[in-house]
Amino acid sequence: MICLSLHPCLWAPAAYAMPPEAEKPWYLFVHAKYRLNMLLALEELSRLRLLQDTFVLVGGLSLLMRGRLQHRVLWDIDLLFKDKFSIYKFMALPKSPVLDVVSMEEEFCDSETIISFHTAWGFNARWINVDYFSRAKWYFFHKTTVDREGNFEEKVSYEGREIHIELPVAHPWDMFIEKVLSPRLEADLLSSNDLSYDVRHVFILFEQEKENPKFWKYIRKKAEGFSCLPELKERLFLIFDQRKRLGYGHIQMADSVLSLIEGWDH
Amino acid sequence: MGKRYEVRLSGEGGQGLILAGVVLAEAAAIYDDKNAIQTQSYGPEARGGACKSEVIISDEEIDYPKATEIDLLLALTQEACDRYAGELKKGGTLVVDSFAVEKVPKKEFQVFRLPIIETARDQIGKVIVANIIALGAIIGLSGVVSKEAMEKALMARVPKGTEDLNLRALAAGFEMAARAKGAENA
Repeated sequence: MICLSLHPCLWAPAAYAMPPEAEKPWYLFVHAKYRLNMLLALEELSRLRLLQDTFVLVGGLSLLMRGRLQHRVLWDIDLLFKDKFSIYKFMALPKSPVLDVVSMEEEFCDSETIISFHTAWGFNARWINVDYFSRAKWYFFHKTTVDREGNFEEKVSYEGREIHIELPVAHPWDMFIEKVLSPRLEADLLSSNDLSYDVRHVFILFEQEKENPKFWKYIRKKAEGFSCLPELKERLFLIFDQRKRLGYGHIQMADSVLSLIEGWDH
Repeated sequence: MGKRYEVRLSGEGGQGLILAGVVLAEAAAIYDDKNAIQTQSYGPEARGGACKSEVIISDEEIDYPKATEIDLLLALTQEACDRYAGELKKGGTLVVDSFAVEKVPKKEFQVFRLPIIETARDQIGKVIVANIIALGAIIGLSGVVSKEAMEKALMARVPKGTEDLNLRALAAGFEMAARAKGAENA
């Protein structure tokens, strides 16, 4: 396992700057029917984090909370744990009496690339998918940034309640790398799956950051520190090459960006 | 639709069934104002390449989020049909791909054999949209969500460049269901 915290390349990315269009609170992109439950689930997770701080909130919801996505879908919560033992420990923690947690699977799915377990969290019979994962290297990949940058913190007043969220939420730039390299995205590329949300998220982040030199500098250094720069470069070119087949032919690829990535060998 | 309707989409990895389940749940919950939960399972069976996604849709609150009595089962592979048809409830609906699934168990449920994968490949020109054709067929047969809601949910998920292709796939599924229902009533 790579010890990222010791690697010299890791410095703080630009603050959790949101793109200028992100003025509407993120939780308004959660359907009204599930909004309060989502906030309550995040509040409960914030409480549980104080008992066990070995997970990072990743996935699409992390990008939504960071103001990077602005569309309304049924959001779920993806929790990336340090290891399988951490998931067991988390599952055993006493939860809020008003929360129902239902295990959606009989046992863990333990594959070569990921350990996962799916649950549904319900308040008043409205359910949100909360998925527990472990991908050992990726936990540390995200955690080092979160430890340096601090937790996501927000106080939300909603429907007469004051909800305090304080959670380790993945940085969007780290999510970009993780999404580009995900095995799921590889399968989506092979089948030209235009419904792929990983592909969608990659292109949304790319559009937001493509002209930001700090972004590319960070991506390169972080990928080097994670020993995945050649793989990242190869996958990025594959995604760019296939963008038309994937429905993203309208995305402009500046030669300067392509040259910059091409130059990652040197 | 009754209080609670359970759909299981099954096949193999790479057929886009998890995403199909997500879109179906969004059509119900966001655009048809019903309650819905979508779940995916990569349980022990996933190791063999099998894949299933379940969607529970209800006009009322969903008291338990796991499927207990499947109303409609989609099977895009023989393995999925063999594995899951036994869990389809009496009087339920089994939708199978007519090419991939040859043997269907004889039980008390309706069976629709539809050329889903063939239509995706030959008519639409992209095999991966078999999942969208299947969604169109399921909605056409069950009416579990409205066609309008399904179109909106799909359009909210696909990139700008592929709207037409996906709408054609969905329409092909609707037509397939209409023909199958017509043949059944003839």
